[in-house]
Amino acid sequence: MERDTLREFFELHQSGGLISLAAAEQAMMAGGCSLHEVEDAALAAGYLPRRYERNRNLLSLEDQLKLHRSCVAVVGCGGLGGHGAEMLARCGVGRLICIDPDSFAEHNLNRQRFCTISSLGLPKAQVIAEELRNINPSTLVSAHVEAFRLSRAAELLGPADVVVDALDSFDARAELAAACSALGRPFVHGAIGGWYGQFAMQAAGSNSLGQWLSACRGKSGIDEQLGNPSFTPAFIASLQVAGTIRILLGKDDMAWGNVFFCDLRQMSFDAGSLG
Amino acid sequence: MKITVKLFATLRTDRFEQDVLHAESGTSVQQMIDMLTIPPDEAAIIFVNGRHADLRTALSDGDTLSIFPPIGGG
Repeated sequence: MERDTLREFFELHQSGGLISLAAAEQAMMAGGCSLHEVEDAALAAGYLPRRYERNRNLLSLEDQLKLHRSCVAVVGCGGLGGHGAEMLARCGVGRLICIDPDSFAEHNLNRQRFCTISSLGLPKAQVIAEELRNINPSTLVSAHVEAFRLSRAAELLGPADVVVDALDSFDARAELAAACSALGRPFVHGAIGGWYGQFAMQAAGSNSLGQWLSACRGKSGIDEQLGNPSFTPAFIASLQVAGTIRILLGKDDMAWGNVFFCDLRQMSFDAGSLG
Repeated sequence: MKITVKLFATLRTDRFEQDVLHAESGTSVQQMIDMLTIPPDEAAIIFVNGRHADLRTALSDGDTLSIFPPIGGG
């Protein structure tokens, strides 16, 4: 269906500026295009998919269209990555790249968003891609069941506007931060251990976080002794998603180069500058 | 000189949350960490007055030294 025909269709089927999923699917069937394309046309024509009705007072139509046309890579699909990918899809980010070599195991059930009895043994990245289709069918998710490697960085991360670090070792994080710096992609770091977590953002082209992560290579995190509960990954993933959305929408960011340290046991929050 | 030392997370175990310690003028971050018997691998982020510092940084009277352990889980 041509954009003009779609515009007429939206005009006819909108209610208070909103387009229901049923109407978008009808346009999809009639026009032989994907839901992703239909919703792009709807947003560009000034209509909001009803799914985002509660975003309406926080995000403008232009913001929502910007998110729809954005791509975020989530590297690591465990505690942080599962929650992060879900929140990004619910916000309306149009494309996600999920990377993780592992499959869900029983010990993931205490915290990982998409680990369920029925997903045990299945590849995390693939499960997330499938589940997200049922949460936001207009988000295109590509799943890569592989470990992040520098040799694949350009191919995997090239299409991404922002890269979310949801890995679980300093070595891998340092490599990812350096790759983001080389590719000119903003890097959004999060890490957890027990009741504690940290969050930081590295601007495109900078490697301030990469240098610090590199200095931590070989160290074992406190998570190895403490483990991780359900609430710490959800909390830190929320900070990562808020940071990512801010970057995608081009908000002036005070957070660049700062490390935020969260102690959920004592409910104390600290920040410092890496610059 | 007086240095305010703030420890975070697991570093508080058998130590303290915040304390004012006396040290000789020119004491480095590394020397403070040794005084606190913190193994080198357990100090990941070091801030002096809220800015990143390395182990060789010399402290001045009135500085606040914050030490965070490595957090690596995802």
